[in-house]
Amino acid sequence: MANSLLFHTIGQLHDGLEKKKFSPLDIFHAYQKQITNVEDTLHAYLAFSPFVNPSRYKNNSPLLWGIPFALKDNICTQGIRTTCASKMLADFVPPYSATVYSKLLAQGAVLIGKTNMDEFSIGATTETSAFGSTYNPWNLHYVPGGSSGGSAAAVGGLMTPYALGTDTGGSIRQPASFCGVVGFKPTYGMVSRYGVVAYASSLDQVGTLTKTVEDAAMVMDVLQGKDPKDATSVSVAIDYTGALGKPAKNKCIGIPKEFFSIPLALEIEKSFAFAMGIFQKLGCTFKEVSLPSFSYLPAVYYTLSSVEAYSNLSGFDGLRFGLSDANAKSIEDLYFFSRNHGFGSEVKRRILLGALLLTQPYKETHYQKALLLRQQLHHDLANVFSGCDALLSPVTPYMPPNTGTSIEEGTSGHPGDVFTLPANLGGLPSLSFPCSISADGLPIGMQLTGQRFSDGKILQLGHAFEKIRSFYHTEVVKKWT
Amino acid sequence: MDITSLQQPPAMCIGLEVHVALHTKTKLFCACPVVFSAPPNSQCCPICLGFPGTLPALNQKALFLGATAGFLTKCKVHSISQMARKHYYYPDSPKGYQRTQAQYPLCTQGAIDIPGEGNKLKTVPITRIHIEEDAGKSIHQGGKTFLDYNRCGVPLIEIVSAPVLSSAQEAVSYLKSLRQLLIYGNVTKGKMNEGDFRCDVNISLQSSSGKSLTPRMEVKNLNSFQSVQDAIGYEYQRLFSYLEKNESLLPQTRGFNQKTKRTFLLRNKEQEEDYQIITDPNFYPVFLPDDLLKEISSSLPLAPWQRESNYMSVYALTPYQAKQLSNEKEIGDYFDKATTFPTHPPTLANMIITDAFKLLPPQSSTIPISPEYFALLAQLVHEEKINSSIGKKLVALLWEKNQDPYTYIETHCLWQINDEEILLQAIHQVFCENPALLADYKRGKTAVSKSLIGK
Repeated sequence: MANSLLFHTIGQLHDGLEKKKFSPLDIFHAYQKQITNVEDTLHAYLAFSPFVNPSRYKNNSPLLWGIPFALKDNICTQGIRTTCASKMLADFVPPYSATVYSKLLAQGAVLIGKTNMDEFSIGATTETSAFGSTYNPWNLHYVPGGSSGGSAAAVGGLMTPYALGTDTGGSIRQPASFCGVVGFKPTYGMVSRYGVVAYASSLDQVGTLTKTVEDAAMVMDVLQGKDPKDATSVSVAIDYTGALGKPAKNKCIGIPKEFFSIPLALEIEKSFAFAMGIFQKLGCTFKEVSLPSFSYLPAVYYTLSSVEAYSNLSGFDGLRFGLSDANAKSIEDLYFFSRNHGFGSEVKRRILLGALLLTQPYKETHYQKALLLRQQLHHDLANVFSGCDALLSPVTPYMPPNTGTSIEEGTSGHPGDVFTLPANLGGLPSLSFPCSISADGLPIGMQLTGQRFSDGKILQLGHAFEKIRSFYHTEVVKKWT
Repeated sequence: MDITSLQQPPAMCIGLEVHVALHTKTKLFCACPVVFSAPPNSQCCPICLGFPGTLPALNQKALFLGATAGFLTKCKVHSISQMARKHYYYPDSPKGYQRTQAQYPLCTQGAIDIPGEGNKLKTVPITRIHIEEDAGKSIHQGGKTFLDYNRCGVPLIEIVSAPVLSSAQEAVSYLKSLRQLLIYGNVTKGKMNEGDFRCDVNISLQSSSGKSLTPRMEVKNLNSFQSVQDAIGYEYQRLFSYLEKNESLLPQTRGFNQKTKRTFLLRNKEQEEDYQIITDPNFYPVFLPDDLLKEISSSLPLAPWQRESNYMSVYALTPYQAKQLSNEKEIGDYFDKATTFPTHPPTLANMIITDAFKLLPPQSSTIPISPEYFALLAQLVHEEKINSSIGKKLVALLWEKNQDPYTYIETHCLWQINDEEILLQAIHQVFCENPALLADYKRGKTAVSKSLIGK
């Protein structure tokens, strides 16, 4: 039974709880057992939470009631250490909770642990964590991706039914693809960022790492909602689970032609063709579309995210919280100690870059231009989506790198996040769903991206795909049985 | 610059930036209460302390008060403005940046009229008004620095004037007028001793033809009218002496020492402080819909000089009376309420100014007599139904115990007798009863008339 609980989707777990086939504690124990089996090798977690019994429901408990979940360690949990995988916050216990965490607790969900990540979400492999790397559950020689690598590996390694992550440039979708799970980033503003430690405020969104698209919809229904504590959250209600089950027939899928000017790994090309075949079978039509600003997007992204990261990390000075030197003789000494010892080298690099880009002449040549180009992208996207329902593309141009190699600008000279960036810059909903397995046994994900607030349509298409090609129920179950 | 070539002494070119604390219950971005002099760090929360993951939520009341200040100063109040981040490192600024407005402020292009040379009004343009948060307080004591974050996040508006003021008196006049206007508008409590109204002075010297003679000096953080006056006076002398000696000057940021009454160097401005200002990504643009703007602008309290001129035109008050009643908003409000009852406004004005003012405790403008009763009192005095000295006594009496004056007058037989026949009879009676006094009076001792009248 324990084995099968690991394979249960949220819907199946909920069903079993309702029918009293098992209890929340049974589920928790099953996943805990898996953790003792594989966590030593995967290192997906930074902290574990003891089982807390959710308040009783006679029947008709909420969907997420009694079901364990994991949180990326940049999501504040009151009374529980939240480190952002950084020495700066190694001992930081927030006296407040993120809204998303409170919402899950209110449903009776059960926190199982906080997951590893790239330090302050800056990275794409989870190797910049100050507390050690996480490994890919499909093959320990490869990275799980990042920055939500811990959450993706936890779900992919069956150590939790689902997890939350954050996505700023692809940080949910890329690790989801590398770990063979479903990763979803909603439209910017759909989910409150209150209590989520900011990397780039205009790009960050909380999203889900789940076994199936259906599970993603269930969690999104709970997470969404305007939060008076987050001025960037919006009052748009989307019926995520209601969108599933609608047919994909006659939906138009756009293929951005500029995406295919990037050389792709052969396996990824094959996987993409396979995905197109499935959508064709579902009755979708295809259309070539164009995103003229595409080639500028990495520069725009790195400029804006570095500037915002520099700004957001300015307040980490050792005075009120965080790593601090009790013997500092002056304020400068205190700043120097905290920021020098608290931040890892990738974070420092990004802060310095951000500071430089806000200094003239770069402020004008780079930062202001990046803002304008971001506006241009919005125009491009409006044009594109006036003619199609969703964009289909690979998640990354290349397969997961080996652990221990730095991912820099990608093996072909192009950054690995070219395909994921547009959704962050445009505030668009974007789904990474597992498609195939490579000859080496590594999962390959594909990505669907839609216009803002078309989250339902994206999940609908993803769900239609997984009904025909259930990666989870074939590849994942096969791997762990 | 050879100062001897000047025909006249150099003139001052002064611009003022005032930071005004808005009269709100809570801070600008969180629900912490705004309380003066609370125990250190007792009015703070994770948001105003800049803890990781916290986000700001804009205080709508502060926004309305900012818009009100704009309407009061005849600015263009913008429907769309933007929050920005101004970066600098200082322990009293927890996030490493201040939330303020930069390129798109709430209000621009206003003006106020201040009493100028002679009896003329001088128009002082107001370049901009924007909302921003205050920083905490650093207290230097015993070689250590202590940080109190209570003030961190308190809502402020920064009001920037055009550099058209030409003397310390004009500067103080501008500040006094501005402060009174904003108190009238309920924008601020304006308590100088609580730091509600802090001023930075920008000053340079120029020739009478308007040619700039010195670079601009900025003297920061003056929190009383006296310090503004003294700082300007000192700077003028200091700059003048540089010109006399033909020494060169760099633009500077300076502080002011209240004890020595001198300014001192904080930093040279050769390198403009680079605040690396960006639009704050935690906010969408700040939006004030047109109907809300209309509502705010149409429900503004009268400005003090509007009230003054109304009092003169509507109630035929003298300029002195009008000014006295308009100075403190609360007094004018009281007068307005009282005049809704049947009364004689000029008499009422007189009685308030002459009899009530001296009964007010210091720093208070609250009259404890019901406006209705005071109005009645003034009416009775005007109609000569009671004489003015009885009127004065009754003001004091009603001050102690608020009551209907009519009843009191009735019970204590205080009515003035105006009927001539009755008066003659009474006079006759007095003369009969006091033949000796009458004889004295006839013989020329007019002083006894007083005691006769007393009877």
